Amino acid sequence: MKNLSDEQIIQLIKKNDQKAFKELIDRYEKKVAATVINMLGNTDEADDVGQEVFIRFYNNIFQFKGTSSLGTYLTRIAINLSLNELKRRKIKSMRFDFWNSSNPEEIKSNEIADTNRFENKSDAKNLVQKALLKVDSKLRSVIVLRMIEGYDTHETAEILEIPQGTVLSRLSRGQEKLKTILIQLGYEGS
Amino acid sequence: MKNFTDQELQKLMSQVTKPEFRPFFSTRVVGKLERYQNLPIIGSLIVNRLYLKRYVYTAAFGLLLLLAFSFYQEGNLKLDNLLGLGNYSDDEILNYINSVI
Repeated sequence: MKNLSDEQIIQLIKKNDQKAFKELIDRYEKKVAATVINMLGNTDEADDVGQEVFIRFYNNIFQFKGTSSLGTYLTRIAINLSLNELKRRKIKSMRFDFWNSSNPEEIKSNEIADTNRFENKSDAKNLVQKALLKVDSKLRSVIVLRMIEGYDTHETAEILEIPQGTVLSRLSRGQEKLKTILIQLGYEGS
Repeated sequence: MKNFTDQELQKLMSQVTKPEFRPFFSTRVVGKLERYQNLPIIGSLIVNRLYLKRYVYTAAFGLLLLLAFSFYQEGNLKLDNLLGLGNYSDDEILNYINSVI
C-alpha cells in the first residue's frame, strides 16, 4: 500500500477500500493538521475539523478530477472548513455577548491579564502561534498558506479562490498586523 | 516600540513547529466514517443539519410571512383562511372537489 501512487490509492478508495483510505489519511494528516491547527489553534474543534476534511473528501471523491494535486485539494477543503468553523465561533460568541453583556472594561482587563500570563512563560514559537490566532481569519489564511505551508502566490490564490493581487495585498496587511500583535505581546526580537 | 523587518518575520514563522493531531487520527476518521455510513437516512439528515439550516430558516420565514399576511387580511389565523378557503362554505368546497374528481 505504501508504494502506491496517490492516483492508485484514489482508485482503490473509489472501490470502497478502507485500507487505502487509511493510507491516504496517514500521508496527508500532517499537512491537514498544519493548516487546520494554525487556523483554529490546537483545540478539540481543530481535531474534529481535521476528521471532517477527510470524510468530506471520501464522500465527494468522484468530484476530484485531479486538476490540482491531492495536497492542494485537501488544503482547500481544510481552509474552507476552518473558515466555516471560525464563522460558527464568531456567531456563538456574539450570541454569548448578547446574553451576557459583560462590562467592556472587565473584558479588556481579562485580555491584558491573559497576555501577561503568556509573556511570562512563552518562547518565540508559542508567541507566533498566539499572535496568529489574533489576526483576522481572511488574512490568517493567506499567512498560513504562504508563510507556513510554503505555497506560492499562484497556489494560494487557487486554494482560496481569490485573485493573486488579493493574495499579495492580504499577505502584506497580514504581515503588518502580525508584527503589531507580536510587539504588543512582548516580542523583542532575536 | 521595536520594529522588525519582513525577513525577520519570515525567519520567525519558519521556526513555528508543525502541529499534529492527537494520536490514532486515521483510526478515528475511519471509525467516524463507519458511524456515518451506518446511520439511517433521518440520522444522516440530522448529522448534516448545518447544510439544511438555511432552508429551514427560509421556510420558517416564509411561513411567518404567510401567517402575517393572513392575519392582516382576515384578522385571525384560522386554517381555512391560510388555505385561502375562508370565503367558501363546506358545501361549496365539497362540490368543487366532486367536480374535479
